[in-house]
Formats: sequence, structure tokens, C-alpha cells
Amino acid sequence: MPDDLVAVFAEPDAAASALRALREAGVPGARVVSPAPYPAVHLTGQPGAWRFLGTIALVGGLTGLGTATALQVITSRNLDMIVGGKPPVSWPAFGVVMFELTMLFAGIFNFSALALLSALARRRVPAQARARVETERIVVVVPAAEAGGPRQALIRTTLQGAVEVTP
Amino acid sequence: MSQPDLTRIERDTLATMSSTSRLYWAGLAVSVALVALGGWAWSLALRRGLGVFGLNEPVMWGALITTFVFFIGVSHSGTLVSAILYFTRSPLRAAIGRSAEAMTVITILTAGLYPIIHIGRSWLFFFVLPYPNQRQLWPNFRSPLTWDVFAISSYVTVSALFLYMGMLPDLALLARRVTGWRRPLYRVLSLGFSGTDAEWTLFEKAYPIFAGVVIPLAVSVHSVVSWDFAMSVMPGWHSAIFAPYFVAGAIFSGIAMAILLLSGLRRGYALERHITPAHFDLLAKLLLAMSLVMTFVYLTEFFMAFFRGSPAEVEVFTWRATGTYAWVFWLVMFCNGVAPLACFWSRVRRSLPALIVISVLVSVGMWFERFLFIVTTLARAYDPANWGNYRPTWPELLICLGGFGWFFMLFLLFVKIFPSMSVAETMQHDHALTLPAPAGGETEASHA
Amino acid sequence: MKLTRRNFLGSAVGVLGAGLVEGCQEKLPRYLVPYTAPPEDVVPGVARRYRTVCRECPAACGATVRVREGRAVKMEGSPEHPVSHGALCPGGQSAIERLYAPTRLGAPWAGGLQIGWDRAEAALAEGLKRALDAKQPVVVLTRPERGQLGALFGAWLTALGQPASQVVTFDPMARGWLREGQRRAFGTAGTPVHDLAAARLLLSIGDDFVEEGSPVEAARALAAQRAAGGRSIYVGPRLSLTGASADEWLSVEPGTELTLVLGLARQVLELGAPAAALPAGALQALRGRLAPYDAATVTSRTRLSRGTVAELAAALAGARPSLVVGPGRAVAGGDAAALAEAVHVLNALLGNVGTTVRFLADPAGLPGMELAEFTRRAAAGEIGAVILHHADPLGYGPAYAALGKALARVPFVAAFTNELDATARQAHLVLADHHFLETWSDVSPRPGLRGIQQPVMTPVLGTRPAADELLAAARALGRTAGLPEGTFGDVVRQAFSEQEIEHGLKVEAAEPLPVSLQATALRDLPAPAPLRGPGMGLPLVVAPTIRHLDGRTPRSALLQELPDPLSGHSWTGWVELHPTTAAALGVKASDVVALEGPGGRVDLPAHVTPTVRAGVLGVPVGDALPLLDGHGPIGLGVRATAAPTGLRRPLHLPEAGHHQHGHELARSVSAASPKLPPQEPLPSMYPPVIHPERRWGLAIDLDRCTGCGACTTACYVENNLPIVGPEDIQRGRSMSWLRIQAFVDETPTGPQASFLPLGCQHCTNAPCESVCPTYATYHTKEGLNAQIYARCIGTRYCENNCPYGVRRFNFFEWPRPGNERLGLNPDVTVRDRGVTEKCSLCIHRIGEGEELARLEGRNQLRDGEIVSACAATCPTKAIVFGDLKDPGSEISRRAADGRAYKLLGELNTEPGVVYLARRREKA
Repeated sequence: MPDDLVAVFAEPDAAASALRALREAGVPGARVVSPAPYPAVHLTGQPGAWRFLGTIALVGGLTGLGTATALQVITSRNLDMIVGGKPPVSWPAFGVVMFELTMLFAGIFNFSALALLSALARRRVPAQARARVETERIVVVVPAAEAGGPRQALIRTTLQGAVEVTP
Repeated sequence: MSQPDLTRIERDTLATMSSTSRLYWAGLAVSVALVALGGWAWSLALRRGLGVFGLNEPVMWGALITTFVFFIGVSHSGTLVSAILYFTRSPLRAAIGRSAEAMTVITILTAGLYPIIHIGRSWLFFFVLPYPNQRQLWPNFRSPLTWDVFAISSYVTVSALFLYMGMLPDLALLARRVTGWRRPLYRVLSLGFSGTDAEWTLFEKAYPIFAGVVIPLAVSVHSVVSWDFAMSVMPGWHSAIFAPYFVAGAIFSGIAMAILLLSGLRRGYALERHITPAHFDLLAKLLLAMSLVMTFVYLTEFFMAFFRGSPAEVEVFTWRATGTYAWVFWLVMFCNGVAPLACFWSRVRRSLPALIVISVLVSVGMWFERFLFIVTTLARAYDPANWGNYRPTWPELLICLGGFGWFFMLFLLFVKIFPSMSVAETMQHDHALTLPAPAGGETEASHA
Repeated sequence: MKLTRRNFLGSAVGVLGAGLVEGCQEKLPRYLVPYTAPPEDVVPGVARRYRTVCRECPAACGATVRVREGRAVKMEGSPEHPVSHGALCPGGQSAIERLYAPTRLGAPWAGGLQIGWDRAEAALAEGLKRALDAKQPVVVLTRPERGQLGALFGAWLTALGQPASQVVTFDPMARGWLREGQRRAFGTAGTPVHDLAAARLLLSIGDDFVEEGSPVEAARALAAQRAAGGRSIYVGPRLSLTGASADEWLSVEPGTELTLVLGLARQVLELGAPAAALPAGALQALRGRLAPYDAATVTSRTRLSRGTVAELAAALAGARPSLVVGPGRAVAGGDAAALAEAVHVLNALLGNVGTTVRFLADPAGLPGMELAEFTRRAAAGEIGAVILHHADPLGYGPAYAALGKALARVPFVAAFTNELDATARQAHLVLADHHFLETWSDVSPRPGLRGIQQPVMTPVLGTRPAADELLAAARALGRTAGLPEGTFGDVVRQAFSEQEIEHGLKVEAAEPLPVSLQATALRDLPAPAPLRGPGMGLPLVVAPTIRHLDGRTPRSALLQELPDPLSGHSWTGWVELHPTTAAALGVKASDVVALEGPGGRVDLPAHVTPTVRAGVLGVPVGDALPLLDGHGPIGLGVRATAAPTGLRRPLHLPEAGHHQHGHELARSVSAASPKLPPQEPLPSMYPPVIHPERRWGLAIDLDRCTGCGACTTACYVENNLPIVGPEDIQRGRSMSWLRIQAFVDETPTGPQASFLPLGCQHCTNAPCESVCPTYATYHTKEGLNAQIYARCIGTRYCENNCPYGVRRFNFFEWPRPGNERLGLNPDVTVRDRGVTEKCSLCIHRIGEGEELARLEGRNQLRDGEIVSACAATCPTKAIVFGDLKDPGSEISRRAADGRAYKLLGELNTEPGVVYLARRREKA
């Protein structure tokens, strides 16, 4: 949205204090875009919890476990060959592959989740604001809804530490 | 890409990408040459048969498998170390994490070549993969080699993802920074990461989970490789200590290799500010600890053999220390057991040249250690009338050298194309250092 | 193109279809289906078997040749032949390899060039004509040919107007001193026949009968004798295979064997031996002649303790019947004849003559010409033409140098031979003879026994049978009086009935010869020769070897690849030195030693071993040839000097030598109580493996194994094993599926040799199987450890994990020179480069046997119906193949024996191969 208030900070701490000030000023909707995980990125009220990431990894792990078990048991049964005096389905020997695939799938699920979720999550900040971020350049965005109206002046003062504020 | 407006951090962290020294080209040239030599030597084996190697009955595995195990070992430092550093919130991570992870991926890619090269019919190596075929044939899941296939491929996949994941923020930055053909590349690779607060939180939730996946995998891989030997019935191989022994050895050699690479980067790209003596001091301490573990394992092996007193075991171990390969044995003892003890002195730990020497010794020692236990067991198994000997032939040695060439080639290319230090983490790290409060505040925040 | 049955038949069709022969890259044989039998009863894929005779050595074992698609692929012993009893020695097994060998001559030669047969025949006739015109004698110099061919030689000479006696028999294996001794002792010329099996005590005076003479028959008899609880003692300066199989090895000072035997004779007489058979006068005379050989003399000369000799004498006198054999080549010194005489006398004194020693009247053969006389006359330039027939005197080095010079003076020498041997090179005309598997003949190994040799296939090469060439020459000269019209083959066929030919055998009556001790026996004994002294050099023991018989050349590649049973060396010669001797010379194992003998010098790597007496040089006959002179491939008391050269020629040996190092692999039990502690089955976390119908396996009785190596050789031929050659043998890349391991362990009573035939153990819990990532090896329902070559990618993990080290890897595409492709067994895949292979327990034979049984509607197999190649050819039946689940089978009986044990049982691999520990007096 064109009339969002976009402030660019050169100093991570400046951005951080600005955000704190905003919150005190009763402006919860401010967002931050940062090149690095500076403290600032944790000061906006609504980054989302993402608690279920762990669950996704777990589901992935279980999928891997199932895949490994099925693969080994079914193929060994089909071939039905006695090797080394062990029966076709000899669990101790299957343990290793089961473990490996569990871990593999957990990893892959976790990564895919990250990729997809961040693609959705970043939408909450308008593209042109995101485009402003750079090395050691932290962007704080105050949505027009909250930035507009009488409290604008107040908000602008909280953003004094910024090297530039648009509009 | 040498924009004038690079920030200091960028100049440092992206130095490997921005400036290309004559030394770099020389190194690349040498490694490529080695790869070519190794490739030619392999073609010999492919054309004439494995007879061009020094292998024989009873010694059917030799220098190639040694190198395979060696590289798998080296691979461990990287991802494992990096993940551990992450959980211990170590300041080292910002400096060495990236190159360590890269090293892991690259060493596995190197190690993976050797089993394929050393088998009798390399062109059929895919028989070990579980692919559906009309003959309904599948690999034998009871074989440690099949386990290897799964363990190593999982490990390389996950390590690569781990490396990639950590690089996302940097790629996003680079996509803005660079021009030319790399720009679209990085843009695509960065998966559109743009650093909004939500993404960061997500990232910091996902990353530890991933690190948690990586560590057990790393441990499992070398355990599985050790089981290639431990699951056999051969004296000197069939031992329960092998898995921990290999993992320790892996970390040991991995750290040595890490020290070498870092000192190289540090010198080559003036990263003294980021890779400090303190870092090397920490690595040296780790090296020392591992060396002590290795010595302990060596002693335990002998103790066990003589305690059990089965003639074959006693034979093998006595022969290791006194037989044809005694010189290898004592070399290994010196390189892995004695030399690293120097790290008890902080002056050694803080002197880069000394550490480089020790690390080289350790790397050599670890290669020969694998050679030692592989060859001596085979050469001296149960049947005295079937005892033999093994001497690598030059094609074998060329292929081993080629592996090292391959490894350095890939590494050099990597640092040229991707940032060898995490830009984001360095920024975060520097910021933490500038804080008046102790670094604790920063970490507490970033991991809340 | 590797020759598998499929593409063999494929190309057969193609080639028969059109003249593609020239078009093909590979040189294909002229006839792809060259049947000697009527084609209608030949089914492709089904083997035909022909009885014939093995001609590799004069023992002439009866043989059965397995023919597939018109090509001989395997030779077995003929079960109904009294000599072979279904077995063959390594030499016999290698005959097939010789048949297709690249060294075989395919066409006549003259002046170093190949020529056509027309020219060759013309040249032969021409050469003979010149001799006849010059009124100079024509002589036939032949290998022993007691049969139709010998007769034909006589008839042929007669037809040429020559005395039929101008046939010289060249037999380097003949042990003339035995006959001479026999003549002196009994005054008769007969063929002695020994009944080894019956002897309670068998004393061999350096007679290595399982290596020289008739290996198969003798080894079988020895095994039977041991099985019956008989003792055997070997006397000689070097431990031979016979010595290794014997209960005791008495190493005496070389040259003192005569003293020992006479001393024994004296003590035996004193003990009141059953000498009743002797006339009193003779007995008195004997006592007098034996007087000087009292215990003191014997001890001082032989260096044996009084006790040992007395014990031996007592044992001999006590054993009924006993048997003394010898002297063999190893101890044949200058006094060989006297020694032989003494042995005969001792046998007579022990009352063995007529029981364990019998004499058969020789058939009325044609009087031949002595080799010495021939040499003399030829040297004098009296001989006009010589026909050499498979006789290669010059191949024996300086031993026959004189004969060589003499031959050089003969204006016309024509040689019938299979290979371009040393003598043939000197000949004016070389005529390529058929291999014995390609032609008719007959041979009589001993009176009363005729082996019939018939062609089993049309010739591989453009060769022609010698006899027919001689007949052709006679016709060309127009001198056919008394010669057969047709071919020699017709002659043989007329001589025997269809049935006899079918059985390859004709047994005639052979009446025993009554013999009695001559009054003159032991009258003139040689004075004891000095044994040691400055400048005398060391006694040289020319050891017979089962691999190279008398050291004839060119040697079969297969037999050179076969390791020597005791020393384990392939493709190389060696000199055996006792550790003390080696130390005295300053020589270590594999150091090259220069030996200087009367015949010349030879450099050989040192094999340091306690199996040879200190201060004695032991050299295998083939390698000793350059040292010898005068007596063919026999030492006859030759001495040689040894000196280190400073060079090394590494011998492929386990560097630790041949000790067992406490690993109880080849076990032994005391003969008194032949029982081993039972091996309890170890617990397993997996359910036991079930073999629904059968569980194939082998039972190997170490008590019977003489280490001859016939099994190994048979395995090579049966399973298309490649011959890798000296370099790769040196690198330790032998491809043999079944190896004979010799262990020589130091014991208080001296070195103790034991043989361990070791192949795949076909374990139930096979360590090799579970480690293969591709299922290339697995356990079949019938208990085989099967290898799937197509699935093998060559990780070699199985090889590493085989505690027995019996798996082999194809490091290269091994060469198969000459026509060896044709000799491949179509039932067995030829393995590709890069795959692992190992003993299949002759799975193809199992399949064939089961199929035949099924066709007969039987599910139950008879024991012995299916036999693996190794078991089939074992002369002593040390190896037995069978179904371990069939309680009635021989293998089960052996497995239940108290001596039975499993190799490395502590590993719980549950092998399908059972070993039976060797009985020893002191164990």
C-alpha cells in the first residue's frame, strides 16, 4: 500500500528502540524487515508462533520410518532368499536403513515446510518495503491503517533514529 | 563483483567471491590436474581390469577403501561441528560454520566416488540402489554395504540442505548485490527469502530442528561405515568398539582438516578479524581431546585382543605392531597419539604454523590408520596358508591423489560461487560484540 | 566371443550354413560338430562318454572321456579299470588341457618351416629310401609301446628289410636298477607286483610311489592300507608325498640306505624271521654276508639311533605280512642295483615274496635295442635313419647329451610328436601326431592287462596318426610285405572285440612266476662309499614330482599353475634347503642359489624347509635336469655344490611359512583313540535354516589325502577355471576353487606334514552371503552357497569376509590361448572380468543328476549317483560328495565318525564340508 510508513534504520539498536517505542505508542501493527536476525526481528508483536514445525518434522520422520520398513520387508519377502543363515525378514539388520530414512524424511519435510511457510509469511509485508532492506539496513513498516490520522506525528517522532522515512 | 559501496562486513565475508588471487588460480589448476591424473588411472582399471591395482587374495580391499573411509571421516567435522557449535551458541560458528558445512558436502561427494571406482564392475554400481525393475530384483538390506548406500546418501542430502538452509539469507542479500549471470541464480536459489520478522522467526524455529536431525545422522554415518568392518567375522574387525572408534576418528580427522582449510581461508582472504586465534585455540583443544580418545581406543583394541586370546586376534594385533606394516603402525601412533599432545601448551594452540603441522600429521596419521586396520586384518586372517601382503600400485595412488584434487577443486569452486562465511550471522555476531551488555543478551534474544 | 553353449551352437548353425569360417574374426575349427560316433545318437546338450586310456604316463590308467557337441571336455578315470578305479592323477586330468594347448603342433615341420602333408610324406619316404639305399639301419626310437603299435614297429621294420629288433624304447621313468636287483636276488626277469594294501607294515626305501610309478593305483592302495590300520614308514633324505602320508619319516644319511636295509636284514634274521622258505645253505651264506652290518655300523653310517633301527627290525619281523619297496629315484645312488637286491632279499626273509610281492611273467615281447648300444652305433655314424616316436631324450638336458651328439650324426631323423620338443627341433622332419584322445592304439601297463585307446573326437588340428604315416611311407617305398592293408585303427579294432573296445579294457591271464632266493644273493656288495668330505659337494636329491613326473618338456600350463603339493610353488623351480643348511650357506628363503653339478649349473630360489635333511639339496626333477649327466632324470648319487648368488626371486608363499601357528585347521588324532572333542552347535538368535529335501556337502578324510592335487586339476578342467600365469600367481591371484594346503609343523618327533584340501565350505550361516549388497550369493534350498555371476558387481566384500579365504576374483579377462575355448565345459559359465567366483560344488552336475532322476520318475537319489569333479577323481576317495540329510549316505557315515570336525567351528558358520582328522601314532 503506497501510504505505508517505511523507515530505514542503519543501526539495529535504533530500529529495536523505535519498535519498542511504537508498541508503547499503541501501534502494534508495525513490521520489520532485517538482513540479519537482529533483536529487532523479535520485537514486532505478530511474527507467528510456527509451533507445528516440529510436528511436521515428526510426521516426516514417521513417513520415512514407514517407507523404510515397507521397502525392506516387502522386497525381502518377494525375493525370499536365505543369506548368512538369516531369515528374509531379519529385523536387527533392517534397523539401520529404518533410522536413516527416518532422519532423511524428517529433514526434507522440515526444509520444505520452511520454504513454503516463509513464502506465505513474507506476503504480510508489502513488496516495495521488503525491497528496501540491505546489509545493515533495517526496515520498519507501519501499515497505513495505523500510521494515518492524528497519531502520525507521534509515530514519526518514534522513528527519528531512522536514516530515512517515507513518505 | 566489486561494487565500491560494499559494507565492511560484505567486503570481509564475500572476499572469497570478490577477489581472485594468483594463488587461487594456481591451486585450482593443481587440483584439476590431479583430478585428470586420477581419472586417467581409473580408466586404466576400467579398460584392463582391477588387476592394475595391487589387490590380491587375501587382501581384496586396499588404498581406495582406505581413502573412502578417510574422506567419510573428514566429512564429519563439518556438519557435525557446525551443528554442535550452533547448539552451544559458540561464537566460532559465524566464522567457520559455512566452510565446515561446505567441506562436509564436498568430502562426501568425494568419498562416494571410491566405492564405485573400486568395485569390479563399476558400470553396474546401480545394482545396489533400490530401483524398481522388471526382474523384481532388490538390494540385500542385510548387507552393511546397502546400509552404507542409505546412510551416505541420506547424510549428503541432509548436509546439503543444512548448508543451503543456512545460506538462504545470504543468497537473498547477494541477489541484490551482484550483477550479471549470478543475479538470477541467487534470486532463484534464495527462494525469495527477504528477511521479514515472520521469516526470521520461522527460520529460527526450523533451523534447530534441522540441526537436531543432522547430528544423529552424522554419528550414524560413520558408525555404519565402521560396521562394514565390524559386521564381518574377521579378527581385528569384528569388534563392538568400532562405531564409537570411527566416530571419534572421524571428528578427529575432520577437525584437523577444518584447521587446515580455515588457516588457508584466513591467510588467503585476510579474515583475521573474523577467524581469530581464539577460534584455533578452541579447535586445538577439541583436537587434543579427540587424540586422547583415539589413543585410548587403540590401547583398548590391543587389550581386548590379548584378553580374549583367540589365536587369530592375537596374531593380527601382534603382527600389526611388529610385522610388515609395523612402520605404518608406529607412524600412526606418533601422528595420532603423540603429536597432538603438543596442544597441551597454549603457545602451540595459538601458533598457527604449529597447528598446521599437527593437523597435517593427524590427516596423514588418520589415512594410514585406516590403511593399517584394513590391510593387516585381511593379510593375516584365520588361515596361515592364505596369508598375504599388499602394496598399492601407482594407479591406485593416483586415484587417491585424484580424490584430494577433486576435493580441493570443488571447495575452491564453492568459495568462488557462494559466500564462505555467513554474512547474516556475521552481522548478528558483530552487533552482539558491539553491545554494551555481554553476548548473552543477544543469544537469549535470538533463540527466544 | 566367450564360448558358452548358446553361442557355440549358434555359431555352429551359422558356420555350417555357409562358408562364414573365413569371415569370422575368431578362427573357428573346420568341423564344428566333428563326430566320431554316428550323428543320429548325438543330442546337442547331452554328453557322450567314451572309454579310452590315459597316455600321460606309462601307468596307462583307463579313462572315460566326456564329449559334448563333438569336443572332449573332461577326462575321468574308468571305474572298471583295475589301475584307475575311476580316478585320475593331476597329469591325467591335465590331458584335456594339453589336447587344446596352443603349444601343440598342427602341421608337419621341416627346416624350421611348416610344410604340407604331401611334402612331409614325400620327405619321410625319401629319407628312409636314402638310408635303405645306403644299406644303413633304420631305427625306431619310441616311448614304451607294449601293444599293437610296438608290434607294428617291428612289422614295419621287417617290411623295410630291417631286423625287427631295431626298436629302441626310451623310458626315462624306468627304474632299471629294480630289474637288475631282482635278477641278482632271484635270477628272474618278471614284472613285480606289490600288494601295498595287504601289508601290515609298509617300509618304503625312498620309493615315492604316490608320485613316481603309478600314482593313482599306489595312492589308492596306500589309503586302503592305512584304513585297514597298517603302519607305513618312509626312509629317505627328503620328505616326499609318500613320506608325508606315512606314519613315520626316517631321514637317513643319503647313500647309507643300503647299510640300513642290510642291517635290518641281519637283525630280522637274528629275530628268527620266517625264512623257512629259504634253503639252509643260502641262509647260512646270507648270515655270513650280512655279518659286517651290525647295529654299530648301521648307526654310525645312517645316523639313526640303535633304538630306532632295532624297533624297525622288530616291527618288520612282527608284522605279517609286511612289505619293503624301493629304492625309488630319490635314494637311487651308485649302489641302486645292490640296494634293490637287498630290498628283495629283505622281502624274501620276511616271507613277503608270494604274499605282498608277486612276480608276473613278462609277455614274449620283441627283443629291442638298448639305448646305450643305439647311442654308440649312432655316434659311430652307422645308423641311416631314426624315427622318433614321442621320445624326447634331449628334453632331459645334459643327461642325454651323448645321445644328442649321436643323433646329430644320423643323416635322417623324423620325429612324431605332439609338441615341438627339444629333440624334434633337432630332427630333419617333424610329423605332427594325433593326440592320444584322437587316435587308436592300445597299451599294456602290466602283464595281463590291456588298455584300449580309441579316438573320442575328430582331431582339433591338421595332425595325422604316426602309425598310418609309417604305413604310408612303407607303401610309398613299395615295401608292404606283412603290413596291414588298412589303417592302424583297423588293426586295433580287429584285435579287440566290440565289447572290449566299449569297456576300453582287455584282461588276460597272467601267470605268476615262482621265484626263490639265489644262493648268490648279496654275494658281491659294493664297498661303502665315503659320504661327506671336503670338495665332495652336497648330496643332490632329485625329487620326483607328481606334477611333472620325470620333468618332461614342454610342460602343461595347467600343471605348472598347479601348486606343488608340499612347497606350494607354481611356475617356478626351487631348491629345498634345511634351515641349518641355509644358514650355513648364508641363504634366506627366496634367495637365488647357484647349483653346480656334473651336468652343469642352474640357479634356483631357495625354499627353506625342515622337510629335507640337513646338508642335502632337494630339487624337483624337472629343475634338476641341467645338473645331471649320464642317467636321465635320475640323480644316482649325484652331488652338487651350492652357493648364494646375492639375487632374490620371491616365491609366492605365505610369508610366515607353512606352520599352522596354533590355528587348528588340519587336525590329527591319535591312532589309538581316533576321537575328537565334539563341536557343540553354538546358539543363534535366528531360527535354524531348513533344507527341505537335501543338503549337499563334502566329507574330506585327511587320513586318506596324499595331497596329489588331482582334485584341484579336475576342478580347473570341469569348471573352466582360467590359468592366470606366473606373474599373477606371484601376486596371489590364483583362480583355483579348491586348493591343497600343506602345513608343515615342527613337532618333537620332527616335521609333521598335513594336507588340507580347502574349497568353499558351503556354510549354512555363510559370512559371505549376508554382506553382499546385491544378493549375488545366497544359500540354496539344497545347502549350496550359490554365486550369481550376473548379479555380482565385484565389491569383494564376500572375499574379505570369508574366514576360509576360498573366494576368487576375476582381476582380468583371463586369456584362453590356442583352441582352449573348445575345451570349455558348456555346462559352466565362463566368468566375466570383475566378478567373484568360487566352488559351486559342481552345481551343474547336481542339476543334471536330479534331472535324470526326475526323468526316471524318481525323487530319491541314490548315494553316489551325483559326484562332484573333485570327489570323482580322488584316487584315495579322500573326498566324498553326498547328501548330509540322507542317513544312509557315505558322507553321513563319515560325518558321524569320531574324527569328524568342522573347520573354524568356533565361528558358527555351519559348513557343509566335514573334515575327518588324520590318524597319527604320535598326536
